Amino acid sequence: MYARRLHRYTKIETEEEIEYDFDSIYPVRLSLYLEPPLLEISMDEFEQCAFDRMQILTALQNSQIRSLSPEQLEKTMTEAFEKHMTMTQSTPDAPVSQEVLANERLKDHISHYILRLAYCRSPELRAWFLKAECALFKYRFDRESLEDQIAFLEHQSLFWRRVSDEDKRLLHDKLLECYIGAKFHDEVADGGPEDDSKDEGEAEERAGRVDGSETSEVRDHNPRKEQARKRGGSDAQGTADSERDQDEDHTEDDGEDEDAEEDESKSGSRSDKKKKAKNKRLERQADDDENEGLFDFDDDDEDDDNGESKVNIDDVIFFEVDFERAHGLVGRRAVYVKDGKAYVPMAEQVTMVLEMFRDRLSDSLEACALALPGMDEDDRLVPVLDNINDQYLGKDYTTTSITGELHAEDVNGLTFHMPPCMDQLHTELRNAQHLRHGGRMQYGLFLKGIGLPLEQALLFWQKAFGKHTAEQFNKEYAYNIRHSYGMEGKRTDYTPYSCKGIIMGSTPGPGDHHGCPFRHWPAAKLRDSLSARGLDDFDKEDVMQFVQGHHYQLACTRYFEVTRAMKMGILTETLQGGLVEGGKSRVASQETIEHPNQFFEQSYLLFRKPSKTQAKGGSAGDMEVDEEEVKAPLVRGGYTYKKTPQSSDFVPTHPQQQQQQQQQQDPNVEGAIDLDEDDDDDV
Amino acid sequence: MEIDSDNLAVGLKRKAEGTGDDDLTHLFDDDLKESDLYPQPTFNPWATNKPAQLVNVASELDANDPEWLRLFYRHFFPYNSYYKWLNYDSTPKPSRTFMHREFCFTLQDDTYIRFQSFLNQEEFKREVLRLCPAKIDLGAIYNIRPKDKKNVRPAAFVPVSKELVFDIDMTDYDEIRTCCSGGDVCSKCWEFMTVAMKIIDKVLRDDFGFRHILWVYSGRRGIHCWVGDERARKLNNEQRRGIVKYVEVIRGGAYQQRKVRLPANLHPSLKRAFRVVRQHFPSLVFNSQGVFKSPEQWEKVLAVIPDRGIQAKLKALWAKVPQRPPREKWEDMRKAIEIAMSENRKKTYLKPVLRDIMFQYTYPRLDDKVSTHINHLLKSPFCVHPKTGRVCVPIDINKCDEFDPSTPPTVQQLCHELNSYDARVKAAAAAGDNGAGSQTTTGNNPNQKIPDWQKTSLGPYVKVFERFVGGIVREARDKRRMEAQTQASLEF
Ligand code: SF4
Ligand SMILES: [Zn+2]
Repeated sequence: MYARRLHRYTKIETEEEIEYDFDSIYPVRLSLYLEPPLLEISMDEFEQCAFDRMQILTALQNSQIRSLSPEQLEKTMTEAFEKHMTMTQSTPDAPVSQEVLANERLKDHISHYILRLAYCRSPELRAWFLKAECALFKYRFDRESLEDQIAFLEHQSLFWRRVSDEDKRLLHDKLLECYIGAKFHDEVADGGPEDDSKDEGEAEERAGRVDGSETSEVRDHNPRKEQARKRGGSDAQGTADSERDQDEDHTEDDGEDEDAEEDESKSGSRSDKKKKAKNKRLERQADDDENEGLFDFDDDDEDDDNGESKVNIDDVIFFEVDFERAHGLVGRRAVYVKDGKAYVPMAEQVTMVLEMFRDRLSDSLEACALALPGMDEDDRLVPVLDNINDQYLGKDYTTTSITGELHAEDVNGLTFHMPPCMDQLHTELRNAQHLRHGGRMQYGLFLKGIGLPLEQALLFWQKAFGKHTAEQFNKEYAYNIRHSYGMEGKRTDYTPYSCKGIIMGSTPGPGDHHGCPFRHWPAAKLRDSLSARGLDDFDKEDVMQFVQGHHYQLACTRYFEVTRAMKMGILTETLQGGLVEGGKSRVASQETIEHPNQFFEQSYLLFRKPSKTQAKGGSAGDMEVDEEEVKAPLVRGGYTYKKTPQSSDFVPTHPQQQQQQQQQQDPNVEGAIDLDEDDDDDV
Repeated sequence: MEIDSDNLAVGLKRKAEGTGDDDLTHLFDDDLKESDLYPQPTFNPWATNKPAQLVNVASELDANDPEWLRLFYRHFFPYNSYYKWLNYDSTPKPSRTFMHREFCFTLQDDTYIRFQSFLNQEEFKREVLRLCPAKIDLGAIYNIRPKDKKNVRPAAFVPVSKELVFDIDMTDYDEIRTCCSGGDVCSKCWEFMTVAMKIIDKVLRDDFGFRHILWVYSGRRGIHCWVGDERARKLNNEQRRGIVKYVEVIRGGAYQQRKVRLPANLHPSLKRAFRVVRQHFPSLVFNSQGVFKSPEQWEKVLAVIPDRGIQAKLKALWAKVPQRPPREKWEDMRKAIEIAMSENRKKTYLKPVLRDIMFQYTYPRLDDKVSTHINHLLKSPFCVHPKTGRVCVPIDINKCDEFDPSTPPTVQQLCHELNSYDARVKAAAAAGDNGAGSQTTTGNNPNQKIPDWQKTSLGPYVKVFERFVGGIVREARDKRRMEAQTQASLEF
């Protein structure tokens, strides 16, 4: 659809018709996106493109944060691409027309540039986008065939000087040392190969492990691994077992053990890269003798026995580049550096390409940011771009209607389903009969999101602010509440805050109670509060691990899983990983908590209808919360978060959900959707 | 407290109009004239001082009197080579590199003025003498003059280059040093700095090919490193981070026992560094720091070993014979690890532990933010440290073993040296005109003046600095010649 238009595109300045030749513009699937695409598209297409790419980027990011296994990652991403941005490749067996290919590649190109525009506007957005795009580029580059990779490199005329045989002979020993060392270093340094931002968390995580040797248990950062371990029966709380576990953990940490196989089987989340490196590692066992001399202080010998007999670099091609261009490899000490040159082996080309991709994108984002103010005048674009940014901030929970069925007095009975950030506000409101502005906004919009209509909201807040007279209340607060429901002022219909918004939003000052407990509370207070909610040490540390790694939403997700399972009297694992009965979890398909309203809805839906599946996991009789007890809220709004691929497993079955969305997009069908009914039909 | 330069200018004017400044200017009767003369490029600021007055002033001042600073900036600060350095050119004409450089002055009342910039050496000097900053920091070179920052959008003010710098502070060693703590430093713990200089200097020269490297004593408890190569100045933050990570091996905060985890096969660069580590480890850890002499210290070492069996065993053993010599304790560790490994094949991960401990207790610890952010400020060489009164002097890397942090001169010392020098010259002059023939100068001949710093123990340090600057200027000249040649060859 886009490509056809390319033909007709006329360059405005020169009025010359530009003829695009499909073959030449996108000969390969990958792109460094050096030039912006030149064509006109409608606003709708503009938004759609941006939206689709966002889905891909977030899907990949979520998978990585959650350390999905390679298979799961593959599955998730394949689905995401199919749904939002097909990127086919023509093969002799399955030829695809040039036009189709060009269209797909053009969309890739366009959507990238739209997001660039939207995400260049603050350092934080730039950082996020840069990271997400680099991850995507790497993901795609890795999956290209070698020929396609080479074709891509050639197309971009990425050329590096090859180290001559003569030079290679001269540098042989050093190159070899680095070559061996690099393989190893990868393993020491890589917690998750793609995630380079978590150095800090990783360090802390390691600290946790090492220090853990003095206390009683060693916990792993990776939930999947943890899970695997538990399933394996070596529950770390058993003393004998935990002892063993620790040893293994140290071994893993040190990375040069022979436990590789065990390790591999224990953690489904290690990447292929590791497997490759494993062989090298085994070969290295023999090389360790090299360090023999180090305890000997007088002996300054340099034992260069690197086991040349085993690792051979004769066939490895090395490139010589200025170290500036390989700064990532340099930083990992993965290459030999001499006189300002880095010697990069063929296999590290990816890293180099990626570094270049990152550097160029980073530069152009900065440049774009500088150029953008001029564009602000195009006021058609600004709201659209804002909207795209909001997606990143996850402001998905638009309430399309302000009517609803929830009553002011129902709110109290629903606190169980509220995430900690809202629960704390509710509690504070009860106790102090007051909330400051930040808290009122955060909690008020949340309530609006779960279906509290304006009149009820006014009622609710007036009651809650018991210390104020009606007059005071009306004067000081009612306006704000009406305003947030879009009934005053600019008449913006405010949407509830997303987790990202809350986590990165204004830091609560003294006297404020808004914010995200996982992010804004001191660790000790958070621990106490987790205990108060019935988490045992084991679960608590699990949650805290995420917090320490700065993965607040994952902490919240974990908290969700643990507390809901507790309430249902089932094992946490049953709720985790979508593994209940036939792969269908009742929780909205293992998504990270992105939004307090999502937390609420997932929890609410989970308890609303005890089903057979669940009755198996635990006994339904154990449940303290059931449908009678909990007043059903009318959940409204565009569930855009469910548009992410995993969410097809969401409780309402697929067709209904789609239908639901369609209906909601139609403003004429007012308040027509009641999840309750839909689901009743289903059961 | 940060104040913007406009307000400051007003504030200072008021001050200058008041009594404060006037009092001071009385001390030098030719001062007022002098400042009027600044625009003259050939003006020599050292030419007009009368040594006799300096004697009087210096002897009347209390050790904490800010007037010392004024004396320092007037007599000892090497403006010429300092300007040449920051100008990065072979001609004296001010280059962008100088004019777009951010200077930050910290005044004596702790206010600091960021984003100062100067058009030439005279303007810089005039401001320094006027404000007498307690500290001068150097920032990045920006796309526009930092003084004009206010006139543009914040986003349109970007740093474009700066020296690659390193900051090593003794406080980062507090967990492993026992002789001093906090701001104190002695010749024992200074060995850590020596190690740091040796290792990092090698990396910068051999691996990254840099040529223009200046090491500077920070005046109290640390060292700074400035890499002035053009290539180094042009690095972006990412590339700077690459270098820092390449150098850095110590990671983790206070709660982390084991801060070094290196692969069994060391990178060639670390192998080279390890030779330095190995050379200094025994003297540092066994002797001067006495790490194996107190249970509190050795338990920290033991905690690094990821094997509780070994930890417990050695703890018990050493508790019985606490006097056991450090070397033997080290042997104990080595043996215990060997035994543990031979008993359990799985425990090969213990193998690099001792080596990593050596790194942890010897290898340089960097403050990486200073290095990785191009717009980060770093204290300029030739400041006077407000606490110690010592001058932040360059260190000759070839003699870094000999450097002792208690030897760089204080301003007081310099003044006395200058006074006695002048007294000597005077005496020699009085003794007969022939006697002074060996020296190039007398106090009465302004044309043959030698700078005051050269008359004092600051001289050798300035020489080190001049060598560094000379290298830069020579390279700039060569570059110009090359360009001229290519230009010429293109024309014919
Ligand atoms: S992660 Fe989100 S839902 Fe959970 S507490 Fe924080 S802000 Fe609330
Ligand atoms: Zn000391």
